[in-house]
Amino acid sequence: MIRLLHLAAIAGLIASAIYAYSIKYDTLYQAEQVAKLKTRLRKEREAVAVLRAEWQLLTRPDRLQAAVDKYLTLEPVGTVHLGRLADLPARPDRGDEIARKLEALGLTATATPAARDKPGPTTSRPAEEPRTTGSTAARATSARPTPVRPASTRTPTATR
Amino acid sequence: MSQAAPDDARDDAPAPVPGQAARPALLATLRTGARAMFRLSVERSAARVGLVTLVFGAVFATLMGRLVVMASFPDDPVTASARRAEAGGTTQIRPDILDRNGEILATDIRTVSIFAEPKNIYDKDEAVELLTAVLPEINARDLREKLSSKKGFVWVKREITPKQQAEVHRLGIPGVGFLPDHKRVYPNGTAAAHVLGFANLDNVGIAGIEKYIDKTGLKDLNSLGFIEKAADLAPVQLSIDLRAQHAVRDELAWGLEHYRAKAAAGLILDVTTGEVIALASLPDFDPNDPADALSPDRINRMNVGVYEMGSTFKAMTLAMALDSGKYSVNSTFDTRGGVLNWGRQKIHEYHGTNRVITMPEVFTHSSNIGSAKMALGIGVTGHKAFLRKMGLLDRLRTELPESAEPIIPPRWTEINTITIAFGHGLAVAPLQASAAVAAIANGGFLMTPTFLKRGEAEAREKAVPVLSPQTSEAMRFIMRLNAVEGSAKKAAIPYYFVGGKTGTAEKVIRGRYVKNRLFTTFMAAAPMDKPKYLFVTIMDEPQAVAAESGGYATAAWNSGVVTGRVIARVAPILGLPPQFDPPVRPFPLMVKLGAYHANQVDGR
Repeated sequence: MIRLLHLAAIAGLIASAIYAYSIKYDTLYQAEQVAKLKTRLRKEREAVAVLRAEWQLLTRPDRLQAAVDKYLTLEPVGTVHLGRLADLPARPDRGDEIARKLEALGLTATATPAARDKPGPTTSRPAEEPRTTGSTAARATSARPTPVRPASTRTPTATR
Repeated sequence: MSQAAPDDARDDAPAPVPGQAARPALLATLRTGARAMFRLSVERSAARVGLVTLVFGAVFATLMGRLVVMASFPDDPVTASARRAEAGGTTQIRPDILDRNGEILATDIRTVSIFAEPKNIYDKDEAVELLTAVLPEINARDLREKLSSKKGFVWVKREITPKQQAEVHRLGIPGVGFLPDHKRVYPNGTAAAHVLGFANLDNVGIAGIEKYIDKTGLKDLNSLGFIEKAADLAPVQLSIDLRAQHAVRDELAWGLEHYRAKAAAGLILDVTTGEVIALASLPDFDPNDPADALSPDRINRMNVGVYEMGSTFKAMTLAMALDSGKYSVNSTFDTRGGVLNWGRQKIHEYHGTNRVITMPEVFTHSSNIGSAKMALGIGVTGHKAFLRKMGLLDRLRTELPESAEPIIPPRWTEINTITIAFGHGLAVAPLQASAAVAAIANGGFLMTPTFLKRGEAEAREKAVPVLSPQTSEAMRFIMRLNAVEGSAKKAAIPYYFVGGKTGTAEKVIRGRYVKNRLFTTFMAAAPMDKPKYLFVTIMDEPQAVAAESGGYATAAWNSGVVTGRVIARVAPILGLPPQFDPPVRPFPLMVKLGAYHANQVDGR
């Protein structure tokens, strides 16, 4: 009986020693992994910092301005480019496109209800605040081939 | 070790065996001697224990003393920096500086520096030869001197490229090594240089916001080693808008060249929060290469220079007159004759009207006599008190460490009050004057300009009310009128309801005002019914461009033009909404009072 107990105790001792040994080395391994990850993280951070600095260096305003002057025909947004949504001419009525398509195919439009113009996407936008970017002016120029003068952006909407 | 020990020893000691002669006897003596050595005799042990105590005590006392010495006397800086270098963190880590939209204005990147330990270099000549072959920009003689010194640590070259590092590494010189280093970079170059300042090679802030960051405790944190990586530090967000900053600098550069001025500076101030949106001063410098940053020619003229602001100061005079209650917007001033005699002094009109004019006309015609009469009506004490209240007689302190004291006349008599009323005789920093004008425009709240981002509520909390809202409205009306029919027409960009004031001061050279050396200022705010931004331009000695102005070099023809260009360019960037319809009833009180041309402020 005593001997059995001794054996059990010795076995327990050996088992616990093995467990302690293994957990110690596991801890060491994990700590090493943590250190490695920390180093990688630091390196990544440094790389990100360098990239961010480089991005800022490449997109700094004076460089962009020089590039725009050289390669593009854009100009800074001035009061000339400002316009109200109400100043834009209404979209031309394009009629019932589907019916025309059907006719072109040699079919007849039968049950199509009377073509109702849906309001264009531009007019559905709230119109209380005029946009300050140049996009409205670009649209105005595309509607009219003549160059836009400051007065012309403010013409009343005769077509609506 | 018991008291029984001696007895045991005596018992155990074998008696010398007879017959064996000298050898065993000797052995026995030796044995007893050895035993006696380890025997603890009671009578002697006290002394031995005492001796041992003394020895150990001395050892521990030495250790403790050394510890105390090390703790109380820090090392001299040279060895401290060497040790810090050995520890790996050679330079301070600084927080990133961002603009109000989160764009990077300054950041740290990792570089490598080469160091040498002269003690460990055996062949110094060879080392010098090899190093200069790889790094040709190093002066060979300097390097030899450095390596011959008795120091334990010297820098060979700071901030080298990875390629250079690989080459030096391949040389394999013993005693030469690399250390990671932090380099401060300003990716936007000259943009906002005067605001940012710069940091030196050891990443210590030398000027501008960089110095401010150090003063707020970064240095202490770094020296105590609390900061190990940049992520430990929250970035500092400035009120500067990089895009507006660039636009202002660009337009100023145009103005500087076009009008052949010596210097120019521009400012955009958010009058509702006191934030500086853009500040540029030309000539400026590149903080990445700050060799000439501290030369007196490149000071921040908005903050460090003090100037006589000329007629823009009339805004102060009118605000003072209106706020005192002694004058109203309908008060009239006699400017007939065009000369005001005061003792031996004669005050002339520049744009003479030669009639009796109302208060708004004093502003739009920039009447020296009118404003002088106003100031005289208030009196010297009242004038002084008002200017002090507006913060114009004390040094303005912002986050920027650089500042300048206003130059106040030592004896302030009535003639000083007369000249100061139209902006001569009192030199202030333009930033200071801008803050005062912002207070006039924003409803009467004086805010110290700040370079850090903040909200309106926080600004209002710290603001000091200095003027009544009625005065502010009257002044806004007068400034707007000046843009419609007065001297500020050049900056009256349509849709933004701009109002402003020109100021032309003759420069004092060797104690005299010189007619053709001008210092011009222009201040404009927009939109005048509910001001948001104040635009300021100053130019030092601009020349007339004959084709445009026919010989005039006054403020409207240069600073005014530049300000107009800045407003037109910056307003869309800052999101200032254009008003296609003039504001409805912008100045109701003025209409009610029937002020001069109260209904003619639209002018588009």
